[in-house]
Amino acid sequence: MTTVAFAGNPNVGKSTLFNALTGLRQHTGNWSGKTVGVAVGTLRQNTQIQLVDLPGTYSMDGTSEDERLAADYIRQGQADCVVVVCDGSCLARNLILALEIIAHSQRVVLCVNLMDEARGRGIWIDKEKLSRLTGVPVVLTAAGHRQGLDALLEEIFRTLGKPPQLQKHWENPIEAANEIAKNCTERTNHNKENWRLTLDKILVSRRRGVPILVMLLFFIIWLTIWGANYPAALLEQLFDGGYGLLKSVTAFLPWWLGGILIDGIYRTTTQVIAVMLPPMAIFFPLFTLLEDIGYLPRMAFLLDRPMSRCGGCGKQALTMCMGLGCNAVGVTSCRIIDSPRERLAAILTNAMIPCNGRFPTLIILGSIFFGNVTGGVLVAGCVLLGVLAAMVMTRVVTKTVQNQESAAFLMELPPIRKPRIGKILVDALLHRTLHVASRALSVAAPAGAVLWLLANTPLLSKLAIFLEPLGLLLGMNGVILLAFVLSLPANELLFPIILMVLTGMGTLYDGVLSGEQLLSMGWTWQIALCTMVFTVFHWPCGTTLLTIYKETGSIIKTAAAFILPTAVGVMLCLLLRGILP
Amino acid sequence: MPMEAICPGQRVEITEIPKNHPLRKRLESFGVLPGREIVCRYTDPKGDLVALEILGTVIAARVSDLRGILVRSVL
Repeated sequence: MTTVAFAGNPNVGKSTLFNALTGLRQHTGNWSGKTVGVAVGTLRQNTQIQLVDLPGTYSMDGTSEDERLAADYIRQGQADCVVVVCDGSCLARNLILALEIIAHSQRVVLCVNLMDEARGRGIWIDKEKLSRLTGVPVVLTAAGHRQGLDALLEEIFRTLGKPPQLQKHWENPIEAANEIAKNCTERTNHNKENWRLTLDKILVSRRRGVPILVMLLFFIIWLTIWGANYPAALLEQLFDGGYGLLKSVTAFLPWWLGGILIDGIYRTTTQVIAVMLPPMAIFFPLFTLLEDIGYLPRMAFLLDRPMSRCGGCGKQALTMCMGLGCNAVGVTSCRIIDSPRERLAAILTNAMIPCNGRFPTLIILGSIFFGNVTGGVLVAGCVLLGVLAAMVMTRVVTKTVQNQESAAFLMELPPIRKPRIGKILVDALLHRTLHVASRALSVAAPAGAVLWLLANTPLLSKLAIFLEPLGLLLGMNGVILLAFVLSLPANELLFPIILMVLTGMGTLYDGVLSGEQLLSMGWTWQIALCTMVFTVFHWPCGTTLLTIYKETGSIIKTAAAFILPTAVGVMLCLLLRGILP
Repeated sequence: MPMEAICPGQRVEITEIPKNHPLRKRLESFGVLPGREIVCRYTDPKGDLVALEILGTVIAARVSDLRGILVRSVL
């Protein structure tokens, strides 16, 4: 199989090109560091050609883990052809890496991407001259608009057909890059940048930067909470109807098989989808919008001071944002942090940020026991508490791990871009929503079957009774604590398990829950509050733990990641139990 | 003058980056070399971080990390 690798600086469109040519859906967005591992796919037009999307790197001597990964891949000559992707609007900087890669590789194509943006800024590039000066073929593309892809493919095939040969070598690639870019580019209109500069200054200004940040985050969380209730109720009613229909259609089945399939698998899976999908269908588009316009690095810029006071850095704010979607993804994204000490702290504390699997539990309990408005404030408060605790624990971890230096902070601030609404809706709603649904099916379905079996034996109730004293100590009860234990595979299972155990019949509760119904099952607002706090602060899910082990290679560090949030959760619940009436 | 004294809106030329400066390699990968001009776009609310434009790219750096780098103002 022939391998073609996409390399280049971060945030130049490598993943966008990769997605366009393979049909896969690598995460893209307007900030450096989204691709932290090597993604592999095959060319749609020719499945004998393997495409590899490398993490972005600024030089072949990069300092962070993802940069070293990319540089090593190129140095080892693992690709038959390297496509170096450059940003057409800042060619001089991008050519530095391009010239280094050309000197290390035997077949190279230079792809100057983001030409739509370059043209928008009045930048014109002489493709032929650039090709002559670099000694490699050049293609101009605008991958986001699918322009130039055919020409790129043609050039890749042509280059693969040539025998491998040693390329040019430059004594001083930095100076050479600047000279080449000066000779090949022309700028016609410098005033086209004004709106970006103005908006940038507002977003990071002394007076308005932090208030805008706080308001934006609060608005996103509030809209997620408030907007999720109605579609969640609609989905539950729809699935309830499906439940009745399936029960009648499968009446001929043995009771245990019908129980496993309908009461176990169907009920658990649909409950997970009904509570998870609506908040994510609101959160992800809003988050992707911020990503797309380039706001996230500015968030890291604004938060670097408080984060560095805690021993971390501004990039940890980006990994926390990723953790809001999924903690496993948040842990992986910690590769963008250069300092090993800061990276470890970010990994160990990422689980304190409530992920999309925990949002539904927070939202349901918040709205049922405290009403939509107060509940919303409480949920936002839980997220804020998670962030504060993560910052405090970052301080603890970095103080403990003293033998490693803190790295200097240097981060690219990509240009503010106009949001691509179509891409945001497709990415966030279609791709991420489908990802959520498929993950729910893959985890919830077998879990539902197992839970039904457990619920129909004395085992579940015996376990709940066994955990009752500890549950009461923490302001909850044995059923809730058991649900936390059993939802280790995925946090999304927490509330369905609580309901399944509470009903005691191995089926999920019929219809929409109300506070009165939960009260009749022994719930109080104090129990709900402690449960909400423990939802934020308890052990990471199985996927996150595995990811932490993969990233750290250490059982001890993985155990620390398990213990840290749990210890915080236990302490806070004990405190709440002590002070609540 | 030291680079950490740079103000928003100011255009300066890099005159010296110490050989053992911790950011030297990283800055070189962004094209920051002696003789290159950079523009200070803005700082964070407390002035601890600075956003510098070089060769069409804006990079954020801590002011404390830029210590040792010398620049001269360009009119």
